[in-house]
Amino acid sequence: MSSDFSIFERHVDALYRSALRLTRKPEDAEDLVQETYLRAYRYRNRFKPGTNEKAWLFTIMTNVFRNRLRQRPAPEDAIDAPGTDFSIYEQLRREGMPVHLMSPEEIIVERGFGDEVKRALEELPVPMRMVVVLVDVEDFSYKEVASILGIKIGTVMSRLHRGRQSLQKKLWEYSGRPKARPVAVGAR
Amino acid sequence: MGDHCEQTMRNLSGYIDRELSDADVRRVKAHLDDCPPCVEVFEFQAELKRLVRKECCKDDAPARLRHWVRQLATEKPKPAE
Repeated sequence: MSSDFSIFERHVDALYRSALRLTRKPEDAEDLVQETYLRAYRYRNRFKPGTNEKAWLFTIMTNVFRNRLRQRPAPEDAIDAPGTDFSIYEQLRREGMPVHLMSPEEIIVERGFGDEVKRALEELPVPMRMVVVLVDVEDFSYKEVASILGIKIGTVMSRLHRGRQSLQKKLWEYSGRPKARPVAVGAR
Repeated sequence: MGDHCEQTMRNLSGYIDRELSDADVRRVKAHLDDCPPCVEVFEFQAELKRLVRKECCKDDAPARLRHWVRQLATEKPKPAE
């Protein structure tokens, strides 16, 4: 019961852009995607037609990526201590910015946060980065992400929460604004 | 911040990610109808999510990689290993 391999082809852009966020380098991303497709090809008979082929490909890719990290660990950023909540919105409000009069586009894009989004994402620790990419960029459900990464849904949610907080903290720092102060918005 | 605000903030990620039950969606919506400060936080978070997606989706696979995958997909199945 070999499935038609061409159904996997359409996900090459999605795999590549996520591989790029994980590896941070175009040549490593390309290599990761090739390895992913080679494995998918080798194990294509294990794919159950009618199930989510994109999730299947991402399961393969995240496994290959984690195995590679184990073999040659990259220097990893320290994981932010749990409980350091951060919100750009709250910081601007505390500075006395009229945030209630500003659109979200004004707050984020026009204040120079837009260009730095990819850099900020790539600096997140791998476990958080994978969850943010799978949920925010690839639009997988929490349940799908839990299955892809082999973790609990509660872990998906806490990594997502911490990942988004860290993302905001980094964007804030890139914008050259003064020291981040922890805030209580969106806490637990 | 009132109880309803705190509850809404707790559910905000789930709301933005479309992961809440219908009952929780109704609760969040009802609160947002009444609470401009929470709407601001909601719009900001939603915009950040859109921005992450938009920026990341600018990176398409290189033509060479696309071609390589195309060849793999159109290749005749190899004999079983």
